[in-house]
Amino acid sequence: MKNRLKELRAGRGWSQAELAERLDVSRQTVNALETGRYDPSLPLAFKLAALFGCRIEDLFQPEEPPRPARA
Amino acid sequence: MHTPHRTNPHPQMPANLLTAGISGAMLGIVFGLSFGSLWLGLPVGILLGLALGYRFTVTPPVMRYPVRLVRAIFLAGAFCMMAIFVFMRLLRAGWTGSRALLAGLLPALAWALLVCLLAAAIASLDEMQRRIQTEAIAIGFAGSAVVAGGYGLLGIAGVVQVNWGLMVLVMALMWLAGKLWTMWRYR
Repeated sequence: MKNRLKELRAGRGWSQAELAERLDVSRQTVNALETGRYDPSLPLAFKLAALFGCRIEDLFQPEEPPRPARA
Repeated sequence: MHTPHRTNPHPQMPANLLTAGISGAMLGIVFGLSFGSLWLGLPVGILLGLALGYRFTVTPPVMRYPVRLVRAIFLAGAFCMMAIFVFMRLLRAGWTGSRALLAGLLPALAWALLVCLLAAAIASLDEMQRRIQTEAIAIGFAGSAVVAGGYGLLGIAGVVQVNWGLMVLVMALMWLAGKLWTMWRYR
């Protein structure tokens, strides 16, 4: 999953540790989220979206665009 | 006149040093009595404990364990070692039958306490760190099962004499290997 976390965090001038504190997770988790090695749970994704004031799909995009459903 | 207000950067330091020192002393007593040199084992154990407590306080681990739980785990681990040591001494002193069974409950209870504290510590982590620990335990369990199976068969064949202490060590090492692997994956 691709995401814009690093870009949005940098835009607010926060360090990874600051973001981690706001989300109540570890800095290790923020780093793994930013590098795309870990996809968050829905509650954490909602928390991120609320923190950055956007929708979840504005934050996370799938690596490949979803295929249209067959009729 | 304005006096600058100094804040303690490590408020947990005294409690951490005390806990680590006590745990180190307990392990020092066990090793000292096992190898016949209590007066060497005790100070070395205390010093090692204090060093570990200091290191842990100044450089906290990556995993966000609550400090109180870590202190409890330190003490429970040392208590576990001591309980096993006492159990072995009692067996050597000739405790058999129901008395040996009762003596065996002491390390079993200490072990159960340690496991409960470890489970509480893992439950207190954030979701990714919980996943790292859970995957590490799964890898540790699978690896230990493979080693225990092979080792047990060698024991049945009479090639080796099965040592359960060695199996506990293997389980711990497999868990550590699993943790390192999963931490590297989510680095």
